[in-house]
Amino acid sequence: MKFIRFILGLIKWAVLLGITLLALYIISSNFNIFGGYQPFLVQSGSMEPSIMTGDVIVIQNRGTYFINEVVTFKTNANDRIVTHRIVAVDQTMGRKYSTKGDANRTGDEDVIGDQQIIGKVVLVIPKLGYFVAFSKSSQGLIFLLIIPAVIFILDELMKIKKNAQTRD
Amino acid sequence: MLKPEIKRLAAFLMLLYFFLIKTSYTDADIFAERIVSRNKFSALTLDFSTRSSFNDNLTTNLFRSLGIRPGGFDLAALRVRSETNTKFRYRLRAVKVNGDDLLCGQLKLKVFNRNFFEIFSGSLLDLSLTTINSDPRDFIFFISLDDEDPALKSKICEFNFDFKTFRVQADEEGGLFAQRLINNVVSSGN
Repeated sequence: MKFIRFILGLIKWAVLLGITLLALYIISSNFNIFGGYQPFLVQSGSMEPSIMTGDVIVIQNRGTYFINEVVTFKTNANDRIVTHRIVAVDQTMGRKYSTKGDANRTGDEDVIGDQQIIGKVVLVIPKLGYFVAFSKSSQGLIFLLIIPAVIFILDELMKIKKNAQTRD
Repeated sequence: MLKPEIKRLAAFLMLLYFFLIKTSYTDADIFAERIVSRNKFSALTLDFSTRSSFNDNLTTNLFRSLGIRPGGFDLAALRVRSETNTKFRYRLRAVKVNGDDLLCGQLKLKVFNRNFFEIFSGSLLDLSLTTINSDPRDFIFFISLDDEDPALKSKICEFNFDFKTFRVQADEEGGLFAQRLINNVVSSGN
């Protein structure tokens, strides 16, 4: 009887954990669970020294942006995502923004509109980007998800075992 | 039961995993660019024409001197006129086209300007003049046969006056230039 209860408890926690992980993944994939915040890994150095290569930036969609703010946007040409600073705002025909990388001597060739801007940089996490590739590998999955999940399962199992012993 | 610190670490790692797995990529394009402004490109023409000094009609021939004898000579005049507002330089050469080498080599040439100032004197085929255009430029050509060698009888010499504009050096190749050939025929008598 104790053994059956132990197995049922184990299955219950495993199913609960699986459902939680699945829900988190689905929600985070389709909705902005962080309230419009999105993380991006910076792959090149035109915003140095304020944003270095390998930093992770967190951006927030604000709708309207102002001069001197660093924004992440889609380029006109090929939908590449670029992060540069707004250096001029032209309001003659809607809001149009001129951008420039801090480390570049000249501004970007194309002006961009509100609809191209994904968000404003609100947080820079130095060097975290080097873990991004790791997190997307199988080793990252094991180290960052499976092992912590197993720790929680073990903890619950130990609780169940202790409770059983106490009852006996 | 596991220590709370271990469980907190495990929770942190799981949250970190979800954060990292959701991280997209952005470029921060780095480039260098130099803008050279106020560029101006203009193509000029170096066109010019060769005309009769008498009536200003276009001409492509000058001497038609048939049957020249030792001691004989002929005179002809030519006007070179620029067809643009651009000042340019041109060089003038005499180039044999056909005929007898000996007769061509023995013909003497003098070139004068409109004021009869001599600007060249020598063998026909040695003619080489470079000049700065001052429009119009008039040339008076004086051609003569001084040699009495019998071998020169009944010979023909066809040659061109070759006018070619240039920008820097008279013998430069390529680039913009204009060229006019004035054909001449001189034959000796028997």
